[in-house]
Amino acid sequence: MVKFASFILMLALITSCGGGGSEDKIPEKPAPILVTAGVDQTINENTSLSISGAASGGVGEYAYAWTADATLTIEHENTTSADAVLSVPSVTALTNYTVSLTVTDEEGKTGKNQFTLTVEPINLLPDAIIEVSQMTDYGDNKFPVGSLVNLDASTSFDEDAPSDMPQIAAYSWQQTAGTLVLSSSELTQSTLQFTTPVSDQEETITVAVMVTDQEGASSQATVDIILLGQASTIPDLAVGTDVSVFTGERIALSAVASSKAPRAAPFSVTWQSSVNNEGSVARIGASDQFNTYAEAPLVSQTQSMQMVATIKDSFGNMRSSAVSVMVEPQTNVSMNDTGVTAYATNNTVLASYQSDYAGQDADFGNDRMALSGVADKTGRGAGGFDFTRLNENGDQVDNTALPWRCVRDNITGLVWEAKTLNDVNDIHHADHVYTWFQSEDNGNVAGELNTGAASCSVSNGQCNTEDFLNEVNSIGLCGFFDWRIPTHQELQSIVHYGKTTPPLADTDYFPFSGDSGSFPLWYWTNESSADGVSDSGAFNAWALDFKSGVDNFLNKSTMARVRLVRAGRVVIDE
Amino acid sequence: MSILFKRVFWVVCWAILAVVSQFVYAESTCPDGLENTIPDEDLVEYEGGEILHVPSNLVFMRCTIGQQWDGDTCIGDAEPYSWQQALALSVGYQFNEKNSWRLPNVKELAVIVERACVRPSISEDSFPKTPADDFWTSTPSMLDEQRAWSLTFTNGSSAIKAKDRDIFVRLVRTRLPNEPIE
Repeated sequence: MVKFASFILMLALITSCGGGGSEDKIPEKPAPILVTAGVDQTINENTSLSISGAASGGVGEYAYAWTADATLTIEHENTTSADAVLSVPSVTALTNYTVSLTVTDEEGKTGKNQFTLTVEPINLLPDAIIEVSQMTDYGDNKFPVGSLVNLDASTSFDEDAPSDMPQIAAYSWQQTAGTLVLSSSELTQSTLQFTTPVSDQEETITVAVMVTDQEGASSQATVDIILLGQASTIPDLAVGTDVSVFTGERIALSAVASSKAPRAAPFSVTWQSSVNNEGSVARIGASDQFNTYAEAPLVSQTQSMQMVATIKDSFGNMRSSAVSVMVEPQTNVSMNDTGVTAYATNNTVLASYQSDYAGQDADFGNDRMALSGVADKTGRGAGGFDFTRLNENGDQVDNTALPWRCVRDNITGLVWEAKTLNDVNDIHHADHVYTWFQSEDNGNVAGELNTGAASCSVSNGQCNTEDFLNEVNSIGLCGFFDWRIPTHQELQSIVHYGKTTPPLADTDYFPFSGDSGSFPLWYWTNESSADGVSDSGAFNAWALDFKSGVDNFLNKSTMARVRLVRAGRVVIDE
Repeated sequence: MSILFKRVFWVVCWAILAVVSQFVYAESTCPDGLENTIPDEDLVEYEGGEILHVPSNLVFMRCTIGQQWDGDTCIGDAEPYSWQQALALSVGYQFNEKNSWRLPNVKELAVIVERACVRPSISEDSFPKTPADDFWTSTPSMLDEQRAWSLTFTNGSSAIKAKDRDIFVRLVRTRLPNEPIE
C-alpha cells in the first residue's frame, strides 16, 4: 500500500514538471556536454606533451579546441579529434599553466574542462671560458716582466639562459696558484687585468674565473699564466717615422731602446742599411750609435730603403726595427746651396755630424751631395757651387793660371762679371764704388748720379750703377752686351755662407781685393727697398755685404760695389 | 647747398671706412712705384696648404708652424722656437701626407720674400697670417758660433740671431718630378 502511494507521487511529480515546461513553450536549455581535459600534471621545461580528452552527451561529431597561455605552443591539426601536442617554454622557476579543452557538438552545444600543467625548470650549467690576450714575440700565455695581462671571460655562455637577460649573471676571479698578482685587480668584471711582477725567476700562476648563470648555477675555468723572468724580457725599440730624402743627403737615425726589466740596461745598437734595387746601400755615420745618420746613396730612380736598428740588452735579448727611407734621385736644381757643410751646436761649429742638431743646412742640398760624391757638376767650385771661367771672348778657360773676365754659374745659368785687381783704371776693378741710380723701376726715386767723387773708371765720370752698366754694355764683356744689375736673389745666389773668413764668396772664381778686410763689402742689387719709404718714394735700395753675408737697404747715395750679371737659367750641354 | 653738403658727407664717410678697413686687416704695405719681385705665376697652390715656388722648385707650407691650414686660410697662433727646437721639430715632420719637410736654408727662405711690400714682406694670398717677424733658417753662422741665420718678414732682410731666441718656423720641401708645376 505504501509502495503504491509513493509510486503515484513520483509519477505525479514527473508529469507535472514535464507537462508544465511543454505547456509554457520555453526553449529547452541544451544539456551540457561532459568534457574531460585530463588530470593535473608536472613536466620539464622545454619539453612536449601529448594531450587528449573526451566528451559525451552531445549530438553528432564534436569539434575540439585547446587553449592555454600564449607562451605554450599547441599543435592541433585535426579539430575532430582531441589529440594535440603541447610544447612548454624554458622557465627559471616552477610555473603553473591552465590548459583548457572546449568541445562543441553539431547542435552548438559546448562543454569545457581544464587541467593545471606545472612546468619545472631543468637548469643547464653555464660554460666558463677564459681568453688570454697574447703578446707578440712571446709564447702562448707567456708574459715578460712589467707587462699588462688581459684575461677575458666575456665569451662564457649559458645554453639555457632566458633570452631577455645576460647569459652570465656574475663573474668572480681568483688566483689559485703562484705568487699573488691580483691584489689590485677588479675581480667581479667579465675581464681581468693585472701587471706581471718584476722577478728574476720564471713562475707559473693559475687564475680561475667562476661564472654564475641567471638560475644560480656556476662553472669555473682556469688558465695557467707563465710569468717570465727579467732575463727573458725582450727590450723595446722605437726608430721614428719614415722619411724621404734626395741622393747624397743625410737623414737622422734615432733608436730609443728600453725594457721593463731593470737589469736589461745597458743596451747596444747596430744600424744596417738594406741593399736597394740598384745594388747600393746607404752609408751609416756611426753604426754603433743610437743617434747617427744615413747618407743616401746615388740612385738613378726612386728607391725605397730600410735602415734597420738591432738592439741587444745585457742578457743578450735582441730586437730589430726599421725606418723606411725613400731615396729620390737628384732633381733639377736651379738654386745654389749656401756653401755650409759644417755642423753647428748651440755654441760651436764643428766638422762632424751633430745628432742633437739634426736637420741643419749641412745635411741637405748641393753642398752635401758634393761631399757625398754624388753631385753631377759641369764645372768646379767650392762645395756644391758649380762655376766655369770665361775669357774675354766668352770661351771657357777653366784654369786659374789664365786670366778670366766672367764666371758662368752652371746651376743658376747666370753669367757674372769677374772683377779685376791689378789695373785701378780698368772699368771692372774690384774697388770701384758707385751710387745707386736707375731711370726706371726705381720706387719713384731714381737715385744719385754722383758727379763728384772719382771712385770709378766710367768715362763720363758719373760713378753710378746705371752709367757703369751702360758703358759696359757699349763696350761689351766676354762677348756679351746684355748685362744688368742683379736682383737680390741673384746676388745672394753666389754668397758662400760656409766660409769662416770673409769675403763670403768662392774666391777661386770671384777674387776680391785684399784691402777691404775691415770694411763692409756692399754690393748693389737693382731692387729699391719698400721699407722706410717716404711720401715721395723709395730712397733706399737693397745691397748685400760680402764681408758678413747680411743684406740691408742703403740710401741710394751710398758708395757701394756692383757686380753685373746676365742671362739666367739655361740648359748647358757639354 | 644741401646737395654739396651731401656729397661732402659721403666722401668723408668713405674715407673713414677706407682708413678703418686698412687698420682692421693690417695688410702689408706695398709702396707705389715698386714692381712685385715675385710674379703671381711663380706661386702655385697645392692642395692641403702648400705653395710651390716655381723658379726654385721648392714647396713651402702656407702656414707658420703653430697655425693650421683650414682649407682657406691659416688659423691659430704661430709658435716661436729656439734654433735647436726648430731643427728638432723639422726632423720627420709629417704634413699633408709628405715626410720630406725640412727647415729652409737662408737662400731658400729668401725666395718667398716679396720685396715690393713690408709688414709682412710676403704674398698674403699665398702665405696668409704670416707674422711680420723673424723666422729661422737651417743655416748656422760660420763667423759667429752662437748665432744662426734668420729672415724677418718685416722687410725681408736676413740677419744672424742668437740660437736661444724663440722665433717662428716655416718648413719647406723640394718638389718631386711627378708633382705638377701649374
